[in-house]
Amino acid sequence: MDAIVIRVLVLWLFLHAASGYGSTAIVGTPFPQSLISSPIGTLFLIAVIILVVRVEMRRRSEIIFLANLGHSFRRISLVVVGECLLLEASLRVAVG
Amino acid sequence: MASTGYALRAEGIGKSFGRVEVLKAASLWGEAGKVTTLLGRNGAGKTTLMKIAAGVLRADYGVVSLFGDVKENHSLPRLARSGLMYVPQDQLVSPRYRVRDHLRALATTFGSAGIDEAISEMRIEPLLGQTVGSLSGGERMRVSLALALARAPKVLIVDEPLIRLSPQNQEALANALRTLAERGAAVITSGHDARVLFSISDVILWCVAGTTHHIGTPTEALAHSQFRREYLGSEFDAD
Repeated sequence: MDAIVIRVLVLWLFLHAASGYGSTAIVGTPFPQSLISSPIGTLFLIAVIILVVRVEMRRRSEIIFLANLGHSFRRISLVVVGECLLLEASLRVAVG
Repeated sequence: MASTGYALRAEGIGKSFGRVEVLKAASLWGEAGKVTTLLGRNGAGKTTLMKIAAGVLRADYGVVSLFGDVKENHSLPRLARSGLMYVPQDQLVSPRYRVRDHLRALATTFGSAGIDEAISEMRIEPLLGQTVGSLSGGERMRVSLALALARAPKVLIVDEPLIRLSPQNQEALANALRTLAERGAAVITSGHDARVLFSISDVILWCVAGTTHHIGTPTEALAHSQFRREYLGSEFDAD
């Protein structure tokens, strides 16, 4: 599970950096406000992260091992959503 | 449903993939302290039946119960929390991580009791720092069974553990399964290495044409003329 938490953090940072850069370059939103995504954007970002985590878990053959430890993908998705919401809240506090 | 005495029972299981009916009214069970072995030709449906019993696949019909409780919408994570462990034929352990990481994850969830003993029993001490991807098939299965020994599950389902292993590894892994049963686990396994599997089994089930037949003990299996003729072959010698 630690590896998944780290994976979500890296993905979240990457996707925020990419969307923030795109928002500044294309729309002209000033930095660091460009890092804050809309509620729909946040939901989309979380959905992408869940999808990538699922694909990566399959690719790394982690699903059966984690299932044997009692972790369902639903439970893992809740961890992913919780972590993303925490990161989103922290970002909003940091940017102000 | 009479499930008393059975740790795990999958009854009347049916499963189709598209138009191909893989299982029809097949059954599988495990009893505490016993090794149940599912034998059958390739494509007979053994792996599908084991996956359904372990909650990895959904059956089209049939009932799965664990310790007498019928499990509606059962899934591996739920069964695992009740004491079941499933070791698939291909991969329990993830190639990207070290052997030590898997043991650590197991210890975090279920406690570290039994881990040192399992490492020593399966002789995986030299492998602890290696990533699973760098291990041979036999070493991976040894690691998987070390995890099973450390977990001490109430029910262990292990699909074809002896496949592509050297005779020495086969014997070590078969002994590990027997040890788990002697410690009270219901062990359900499968494979084609009938000679080795007979030496550790209490119950033989024959999976043929999508269904299963209870053949009895290994001694009874050897005396079963149809089983001998159609599965073991006339040349088979248990010694």
